[in-house]
Amino acid sequence: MQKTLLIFAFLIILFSSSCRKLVQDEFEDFNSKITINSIIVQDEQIHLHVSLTSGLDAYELSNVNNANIEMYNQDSVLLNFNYVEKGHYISDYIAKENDEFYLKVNVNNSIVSSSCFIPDRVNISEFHIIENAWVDNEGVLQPKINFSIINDLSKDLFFEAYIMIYDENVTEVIEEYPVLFFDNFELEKDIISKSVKISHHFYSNNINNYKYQLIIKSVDSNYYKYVKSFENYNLSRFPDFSNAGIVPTNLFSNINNGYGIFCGYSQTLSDIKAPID
Amino acid sequence: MLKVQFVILFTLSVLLANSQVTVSGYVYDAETNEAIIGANIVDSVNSNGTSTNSQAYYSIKTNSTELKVSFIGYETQIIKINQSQNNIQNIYLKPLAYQLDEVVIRVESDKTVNVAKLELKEIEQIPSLTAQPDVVKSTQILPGIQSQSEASSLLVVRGGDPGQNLFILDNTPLIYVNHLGGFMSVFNPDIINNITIYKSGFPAKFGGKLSSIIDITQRSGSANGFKGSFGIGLTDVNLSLEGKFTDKITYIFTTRKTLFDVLMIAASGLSDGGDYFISYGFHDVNFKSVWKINSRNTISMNLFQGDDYLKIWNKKDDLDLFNSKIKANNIWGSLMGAVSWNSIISPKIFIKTNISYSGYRVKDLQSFNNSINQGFKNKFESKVQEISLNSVWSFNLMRNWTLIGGLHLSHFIYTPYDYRVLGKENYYEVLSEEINNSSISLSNKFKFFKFIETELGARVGNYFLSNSKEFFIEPRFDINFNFNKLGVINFNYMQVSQASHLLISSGNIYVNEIWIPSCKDIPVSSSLQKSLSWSKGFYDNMFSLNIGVYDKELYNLITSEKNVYYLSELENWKQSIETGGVGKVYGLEFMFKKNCGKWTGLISYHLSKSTRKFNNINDGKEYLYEYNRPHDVSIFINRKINKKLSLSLVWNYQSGLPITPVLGRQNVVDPHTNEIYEAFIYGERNSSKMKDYHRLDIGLKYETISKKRKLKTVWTFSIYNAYNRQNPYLYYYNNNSSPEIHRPENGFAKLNLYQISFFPILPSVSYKVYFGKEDINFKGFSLKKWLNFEE
Repeated sequence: MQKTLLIFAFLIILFSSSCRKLVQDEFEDFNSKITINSIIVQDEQIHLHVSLTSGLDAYELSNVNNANIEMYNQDSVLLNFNYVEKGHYISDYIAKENDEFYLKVNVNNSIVSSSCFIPDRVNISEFHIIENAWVDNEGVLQPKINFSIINDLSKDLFFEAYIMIYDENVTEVIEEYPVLFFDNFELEKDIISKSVKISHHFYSNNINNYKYQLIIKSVDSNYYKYVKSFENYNLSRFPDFSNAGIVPTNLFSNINNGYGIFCGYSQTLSDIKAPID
Repeated sequence: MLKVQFVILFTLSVLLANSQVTVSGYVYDAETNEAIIGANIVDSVNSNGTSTNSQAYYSIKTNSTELKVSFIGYETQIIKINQSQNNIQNIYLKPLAYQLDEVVIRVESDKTVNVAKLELKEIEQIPSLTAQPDVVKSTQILPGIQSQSEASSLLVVRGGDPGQNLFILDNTPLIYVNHLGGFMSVFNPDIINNITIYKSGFPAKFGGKLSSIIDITQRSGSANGFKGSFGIGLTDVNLSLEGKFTDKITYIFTTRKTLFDVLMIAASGLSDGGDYFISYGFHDVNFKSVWKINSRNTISMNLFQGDDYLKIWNKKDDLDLFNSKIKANNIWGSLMGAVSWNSIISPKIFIKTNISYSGYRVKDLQSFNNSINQGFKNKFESKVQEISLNSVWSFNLMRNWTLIGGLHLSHFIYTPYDYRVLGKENYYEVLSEEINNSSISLSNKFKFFKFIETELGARVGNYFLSNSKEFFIEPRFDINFNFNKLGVINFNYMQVSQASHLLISSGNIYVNEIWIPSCKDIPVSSSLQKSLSWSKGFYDNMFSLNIGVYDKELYNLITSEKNVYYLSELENWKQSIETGGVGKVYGLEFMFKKNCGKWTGLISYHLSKSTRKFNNINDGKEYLYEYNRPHDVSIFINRKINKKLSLSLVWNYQSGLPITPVLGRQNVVDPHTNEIYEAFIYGERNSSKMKDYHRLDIGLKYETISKKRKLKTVWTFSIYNAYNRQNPYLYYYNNNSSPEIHRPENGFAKLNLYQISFFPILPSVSYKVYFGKEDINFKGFSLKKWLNFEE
């Protein structure tokens, strides 16, 4: 709220002396390429979206409904895909931990390829929610979560931690959002422990008696790089006076000869717990 | 026997040849007792000379019986030398009795492109956005020095980062030097004596920053009695007072304060439907006092405090569940205090010792009050503090050999994140790190064969970081070949290191500089620079020409993809930066100046290329630096029309800033919602550029004497961007020219490229009046008597 007011005040001052002008309205043609978007989740069917890139002068982005999709798992089993709509394809195959996938897509004799891997699920060895752990900038007591997971020092591992917040009777999800993105680089212990502040109460002392669940996604390196680039991309996508200095960055892609992302993750859910004070 | 006689004769001849005395002392203005920096002391017989340093101190070995002392605007003086012993002679130069019809800037040309000097007279001639001279903006007409962005005071010197410039105010580093988000600097011209800018070739006594040293000396105050000035302009009012407490103690006090914050409060108070008061402004205060204990010893005290603030508070007094009393204050600025002692220990030894404190902080204070949360306040703050001791000694060992040594101790406290809540629940989190820096410096200045001057030195020391230690050696080498009619050729080599890093939130006027320390995960940065230049004066230095080339390498740089920091987000600052960057810069600088006459001015040109490379940015490939401007031209012309009127023009041209172009569009998946929507495909980082930037500023200065009280007054009129060029500040893609940028979730749309410009044509005016103690007389009270401590 306060930030909004301050930004508003700043913009009033500056927009009164600024000026907008057209610089360019015609652009060079951009060679159309295949875009693949697929995030494979353990224990779920595989979804794939196929479309074509376009230039800035285009009036739409084309979805592909006639893609020839060849996807194999580590056992060289060819997975079948059915077209749904608007470029979406779905397979009956249920992804599992340690699955590897090799993808080749042919659209009008233009071929792209990629591969990904579903990491092992991680073991959550500890999870606590500590109520009234810190005070936010509006003076409301908020909780903090502490958790520990088992590390595998022989591999580079990447994780995304989510928090699910339930009502008192665990019948409804109140909120769900990522809280931390981390890896095991430069960590030399068997256990990775983290402590994260969260903020969602409007009033102190958890008067709604919420309950919490931790979800740890074990993600492959492609997902990790993609999500990091996604955050940086969004920072620069809408430039204004407050972020004029941010240099735009491309979204990470592991699609050979194309664009998009092909990656996956497994996830571990903790018990649903009430906070401790 | 013959051999013995030969040896005796030879020894006698050597002794006689070296039978010289050392003459040293200070050079002052005879009327005001102000230090004169850069005054020339010449031994005409032996074609030997020197000039006063930033403390107005000189030292020269001579076997002549007289020396000639001169400086622009003063009568040349011949002083007699006692050859029987070393002398300490303080010299008082008389100002010229008549005012010149023409302007004279400087007698000597700069010997190298690495160092530039600016006198207050030059700064006052350069037109500015606010019609009042600005110290830092004036430096931007020099080659190799650019502003980070339009109307910003943040400097990019020879392709370096804005956080790599050290501003020294009377031997004390000042950390934050901007007002109004960079539109003007904190340096009040009323107190400035002299500015020396080192783009390279740092003397060994300076260190800690990679790209430049901007050494600013202040005046000491008038020993001739009380006087002052009062000025008013569109941005601020300013007041300066100076005089003497006793015959040995002078003082100078200056202050500035904005007016438009008061106008903003009034305007927001009168507006119907508006719920908030808004106020944005700044103030700064300088105080300096100098005590000349005796002819050898001087102690000075220096204080500076300046803040910018943006305040918002609501008008409502009634509190209920839905209405809250809100107050939000953003305050950022500096505090500096220092005590210096200059001492001529003997005619051959001069010591300058300085103890100082310098701090910068930016804070966001909010208070929030309603029927649920009462008396609640929070504060986010980021700050850096430095306590330092610097002692530099000059030894005039022989006629052609001066040794300068120094001890430099600094203690830094970095607090990037300080979060406190005061209310029903009290809470705080503070992240703080301390760094100690101890170093010694040594510099040998030699003169050979009358035409070679060289300075060979080094700075050696340790950075004691929070969890590691880094040792550094910074060699410094400078050599001048003075071929008289053919000019001066200079070669310079230097290495420098820096243990602090600046995160900038660009375009964000109220949170813009955050300093973080080096540590085990963020190594100390360093740079290596070489330069070669040729300089020459023509027609008794009426004209001067400097041409040079340089090559600069930067190591262990940091950057951030994020580049926008709110104080509340700094808790995890270490996770959001990239380290280990490498920078390369090379360039050519050209400057041609006319130094005296009714017309004065300069043409400067800088051709350069600046790149960066980080492992995790741009796939590890080298890319053009965000502030790479291959061509930068400045033309400055000043014409003294008559004794009252002078006209100035500055025209600046720069290549457009690099941008990353959009080549096409693609579908992407949101990893958190799995929704598919449109995103841009960008080209190579910084592979395209904005339109070129150019602008003309005009200034007109009119000096007169007021009719009633016979006071000197100065009107200054300026026009910024006189031909209203719409220079691009940023580019963005949108489906129309409105401020609201099209969002992909609103459907696909054809996009065009638009620009936002910052300043159109902007006229400005300021008025200043000068007065002395005789001019201030109130009923029953005489300021003249009061200041002279008379009954």
